[in-house]
Order: sequence, then C-alpha cells, then structure tokens
Amino acid sequence: MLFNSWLFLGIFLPAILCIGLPLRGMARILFLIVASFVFYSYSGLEHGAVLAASIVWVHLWTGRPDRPLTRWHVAAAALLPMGALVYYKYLGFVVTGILHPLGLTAIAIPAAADKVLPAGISFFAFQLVSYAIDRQRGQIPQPERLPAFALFISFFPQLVAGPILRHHDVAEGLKALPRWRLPAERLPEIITLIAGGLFLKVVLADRIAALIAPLAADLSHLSRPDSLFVLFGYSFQIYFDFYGYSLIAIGLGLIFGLRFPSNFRLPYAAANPRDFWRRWHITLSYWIRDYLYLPLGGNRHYVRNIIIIFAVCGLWHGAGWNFVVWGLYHAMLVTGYHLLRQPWQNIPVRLQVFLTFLLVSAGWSLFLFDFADWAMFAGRLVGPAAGGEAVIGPWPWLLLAACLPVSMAVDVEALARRACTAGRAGTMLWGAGAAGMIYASLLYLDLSAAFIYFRF
Amino acid sequence: MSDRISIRTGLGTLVAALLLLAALSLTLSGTVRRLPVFGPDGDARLRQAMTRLTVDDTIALKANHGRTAPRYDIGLFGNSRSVAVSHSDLGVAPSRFFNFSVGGTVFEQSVTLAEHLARDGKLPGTVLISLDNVDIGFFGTIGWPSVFTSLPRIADDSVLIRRMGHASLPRIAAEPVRMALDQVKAFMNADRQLDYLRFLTGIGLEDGGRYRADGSVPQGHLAAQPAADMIRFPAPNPYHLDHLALYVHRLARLQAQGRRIIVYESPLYPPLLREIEQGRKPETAALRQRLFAACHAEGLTCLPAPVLQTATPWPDCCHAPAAALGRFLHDLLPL
Repeated sequence: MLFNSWLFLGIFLPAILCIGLPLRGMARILFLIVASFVFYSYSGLEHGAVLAASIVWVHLWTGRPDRPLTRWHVAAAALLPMGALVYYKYLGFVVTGILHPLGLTAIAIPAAADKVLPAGISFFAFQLVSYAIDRQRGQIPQPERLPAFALFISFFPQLVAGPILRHHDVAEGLKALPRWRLPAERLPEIITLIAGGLFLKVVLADRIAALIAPLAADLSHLSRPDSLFVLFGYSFQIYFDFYGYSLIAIGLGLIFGLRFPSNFRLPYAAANPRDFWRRWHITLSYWIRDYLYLPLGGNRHYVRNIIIIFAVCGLWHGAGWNFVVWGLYHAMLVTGYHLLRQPWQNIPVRLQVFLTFLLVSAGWSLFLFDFADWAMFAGRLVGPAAGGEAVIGPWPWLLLAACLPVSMAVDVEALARRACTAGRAGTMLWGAGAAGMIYASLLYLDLSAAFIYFRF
Repeated sequence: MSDRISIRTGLGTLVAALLLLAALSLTLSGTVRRLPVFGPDGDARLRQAMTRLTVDDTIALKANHGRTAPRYDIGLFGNSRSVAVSHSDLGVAPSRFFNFSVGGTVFEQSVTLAEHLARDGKLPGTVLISLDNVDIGFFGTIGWPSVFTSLPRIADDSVLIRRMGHASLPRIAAEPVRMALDQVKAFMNADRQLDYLRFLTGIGLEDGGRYRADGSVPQGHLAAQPAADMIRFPAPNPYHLDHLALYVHRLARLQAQGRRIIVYESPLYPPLLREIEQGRKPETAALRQRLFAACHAEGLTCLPAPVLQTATPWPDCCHAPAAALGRFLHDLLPL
C-alpha cells in the first residue's frame, strides 16, 4: 500500500486513527501489528509471510534474556532475513551479472529473479540484523517481547522505505506505546510533516517525473538542454520523493508517540561529498558506519574501507552493476575530497555547494538508466552529437529553478517543530499553507506513482 | 497567545482553508455544469471541446439542458450505443428531439436522469431508452448526480433490492461506499479542475469535433468490413443485471405520470446476435426472462434486440450504425 493513495489516505489511515488511538495496552500493539501486516501484504501475501518469518526467526535467536549472545547467534539470526534478501534481490544478479559474463552460462537464472522483490526488504533486513548485533553488543540488555519486537520491525510507517530504525531510537516510545495519548500540541507538527511530505512527493517529485519520463524513454532524440533537464530534474525528483516519504513516515510515527530519526538534513546544501553523506539517507549512513565501517577498522584503512562501504551501499540500493558503479563513484568523490580537502576548502562555499550538487546529480543518472542507456545519455549530455531539438520549454525549467531553493533551504522537520508558535498571523499562515499543500496533493494523488525507494 | 489557543487557531484556519478550497472546486464544477452548451442557442465552441469533460459532467450538462429548455417531444436515453442517433437519423421533424445518451454510462444512469427530468416536469413525451444487450451486460458507471445527494434514493433502492432478494446485504452496503470513493477520487483531480478552468475561460480549449446541438455525437469511422473481433465480448456483469427488475419498476412509475416509455435492447452485429441466440447460456436466458417478465408485470414496453439489416458497415460488434438505429427507433414512435 502506498502513502500517496486514496486507499491509504481515505480508508487505512482513518481506520488506524479511529481504532488504534482509542485502544490501550496490548490490544493497541496487536492492532498495529495486524494493521501493519495488512498494509504490507498489499504487495503480496508471500511478502508478508517472509516478513513474519524473519521477525519470528530473529526473535528466536535474540529473545532469551538469560542467555548472552555470541557472534554465532547473530550469524544465525541474520541467516533468514539476509538469506531472503539475497534470494529475492541478488540471486538473479549473481547469475546474470557475474556468472554468465564469466562464461558459466549453464547455471540457470533462479526462480527468484522473476519474482517481485518484497517491498522494503533491504530496510527490514538491515533493521533485523542491527537489532541482533546490538543485542550481542549488549546495547539492548533486555530483549523486547515478541509483540513489541514485531511492531518495532513491522510498524507500517517505516516498514517499506525507512528510516532504518535502531532499537535505541524508539525504545522509549515502544515502552510508552500501550498508554500513549496523542497530545493536541503534537498535531501541528504531525500535520506539517505529513502534508509537507505528501506535497513534496505528489506535487513536486511526481510532476517532475512526468516531465522526465518521456525524455528518458527516447534517448535517441534527446537534445543537450533536455539531457540537462533530465539530469537536474531527476536529482530533485529522487530527493523530494525520498524526503517526502521520510517526512510522512516520521509524521505517522509521531501519531503513536514514536519519534523516528531524521533521514535528511538539506543534503543539496552540502559543501562536499563527505558532508553530503552526513545529510542524505542519514539512517543508512549511520547503519553502514556502525555495522560495517567501524568493524572494518574505520579510519585506519580509510580509502579501502570507503571503497568497500560505498560498493555495499551501491549494492544495497539495487542488484545491478550500475548501482555498484554509482557506489564506487561516490567512494571516488569522498576519497577524492579527502585527498584534496585543502584546495577544495579554499574555493568559495557557494561554489563548493554547487560543485557538490553537480557531482551528486551526475551520479543519480546511474539510478535512472541501466548501463547501455546511461552511456547513450552521457553521450547526449557531453558528446559532440546532440540529438533533436529541445522539447522542454521555459515553464519546466522555472519549476526546477524553484526546486533549487526549496531543496537547499526548506527543512520541513524544523518548520514542523515550530508550527503554530509564531503568533496569530504566523499560525493562520501555517493553517492556510498546510491546507494548500494537502489540497494540492489530493488533486494530484491519482497521478502519483510509487516511491522510488520502494524498489530497494 | 497560549499554546492551546494557538493550536486551535492554526487547526481552525487549516479546516476553514480546506473547506474554502473544496467550495471553490465545487463552485467551479457547478458553474461549468450549468453552461448553455446544447440546443440551438448553445455555445458551439464549448460543445466541440466537450471531450475534455468527464462522463458525469456531460450527464450534468445534458440534465441541465433538459431542465432549462422547453420540454422535448422525444428523448433518447442510453450510452455510446445510442448517442450517435441524431434528429435527422430519427426523421421526426418537426417534433423536438434531444439525445440524452452519454457514452460510458449504464441503464441505471438513464433511469435516474429520466427521473430527474420528470421531477421538473421536463421528461419528454416519448422516452426511448437503450438497454445494453442482456447477453453481453456491459460495464459502465452511474456518475450523476453525486452519491452524496442521492442517499435517500440509494437507501430506497437497497430496501427494494433486498425485498426482491437479488443482492446480499454486504454488497448493498458496500456499493454506495465504493461509489462515494470513486466520485471523490474522480472529482479531486488536478486535470479535471484545470479542464473546468479552460472551459470557463476559453483558454486552451481543444476542438474535439464532438457533440451536436441535439445531444448526439457523430459516429466514428465505420469499418468497411466487419472485423473479426466483432464477436468477442466481455462477460455479463451480474450486479447490474440483478438490478434490472428494480429499474423497470422505477420506469413504470414514470410511465404512470402520463409519459410513453419504450425500452429497447441494443442491437448487435447480426452474425453475433445469431451466434448468441443459438448458444444462449442458461443464466443469461433466465435473466432475460426475468427482465421481460418484470416489464410485462409493470406494463412497460420492453423490446428484445432487433436484427438490423443494413448495408451500412458496423463500427464494431455492439454499436449499430446511427442511421439504421434511427430508422428502427422511428418505427417505434407513435404515429
């Protein structure tokens, strides 16, 4: 089920509010688990079964309070969620992307390659593994009971595209959940987050996507100005898409008193590639830092470890060489910045921000196209022979121009925290603005597409 | 300002602004639906651009015309299977004729539209209603008037349907909810609101080459040879068929007001019709029997699909050439 659908906004969410909020105690937790599975099973009953099995499996290995966990316990716990991740997401790529090019063509493509990837499997698999590791490290001394653990993993706002929760992020909230009452003071913040997220996704990201799609579908006639439009347009699209999702998720979590960590902090205002990764998909960056980078030795083998973690980061996003190359491209940017930090810092800050934005935007094209198309796109962008005439007029460019300050300066979470605190005029302005965003989002809801990060 | 008062102000503004925006949209839609599009004085430019409007907007425009124009002598109700029949196809000059058909609608929509006109005393003296061939049972929508303004009728229908034992309670209860959601979804659509603005301002109107002043639409390209796919058809839709007896009852109530009502089953491409008649399924045979028995019991004229022998090619299996259909309908009219 999608947040940006009538089914969710018209039926599912009202039902959650009308039933979930009045309930108390274990009944509320069980209701939210059932609702989350209903939400998730819309992408396929089999997918719901994979999720349920993974939750029970990890809890079996990590749920004994009286038994200290060893690394073997963690490995055993990770076996099922990571196995499912490999089976659904990577097996096809291993066969067709690695074994077949090596000449091992007798190996058949596994059945999983033809199956639909369970939505958000990369997110919940990482979340399950982090829980097991944190238990083993002693960071979660008392394991959650199965219902609370099941809700921690499956809670619908964050299930399909994060933020990737760590247990300590929501431990207090989970404990208080059975008795939680939604205070009226939270409403402006929640409404701002959900309305802002919907607006960014439905009105900005999806409108830009509608402009890009026909251009990306016919690369042979793409002109250079249109290639630039695709490059920058997709950069804004992917940001507003994912940021929008994260905002809605955070807003929905707050309804039940769970404050999810921020996933974005104005990433396009980053002044260098390393800074970018402290602002983009923050929960993934921290996950990789804590469970991969630091165990590999951290800064002691900086370049090697950066290459490894960004290759993994690329693979996490998708099973394809284009994603691996995208990851390595960012590894190159980060290590390049590491080596050239002094001269980089000598250039004006605004130019640093612009260059970072340019470099990051160039990388996103690897998300949009497979290799063959990407080569063609790059040729259209920088090659000598540009395609046909430009079809993108001034209005779409104006839209992108308007997106630039929005992406670099509008921190919706900060605005949400200050909602209804700026005097009567400011408060009324907030109400009118939120209503405008909600209404515009509803008008475009039917034209909205799935979130890009659902694929991951 | 204390926190609580501030929040109350903010939320109050939000709700008020949402209501205001919804009211603006409704006003926009309501204004468009009252534009004079049909009849000799109708705006031909808007009529040409009506392809941009949705099915329910088109029904509303036709209903508005029917209610504001002097009462017509003859009215044709139905969907795409009858919308092509023009005044000249029917050959009834100098009688006044209007084609109330709208493509994409179902029988119930025709009945409901006729009831609305009757309420204003504007139901034509003779009402011809096209009923999709029972053997095929095409899908369609009833989009006008809004489900929110039709709750008494829907409740009334539900009681009747339940008494007739034709539908289960959950289905009866779910149908208005589904209709309401569909209508909200269809209305809350940016493209639709922009089309309203185009219609009102005249900016960016496209020439669709569509509706005539008499409500009919010129028939599309007629195939030179009947295509092979003319005899492929979808499965019957039992939900709508279950309601047929109820619709017949509602039409009989209108007939009791002194109108002449003739329901005819839409003609099919003759080879297809022959094929269907030779291998009619027991369940559709029973439904036909139920329909015609209901018509007989209510004293309503209901005619089975005629075999239209015409030299004109058919555009497809289920849309008769307008001229041939017009001639058939002409013969049904009282002398």
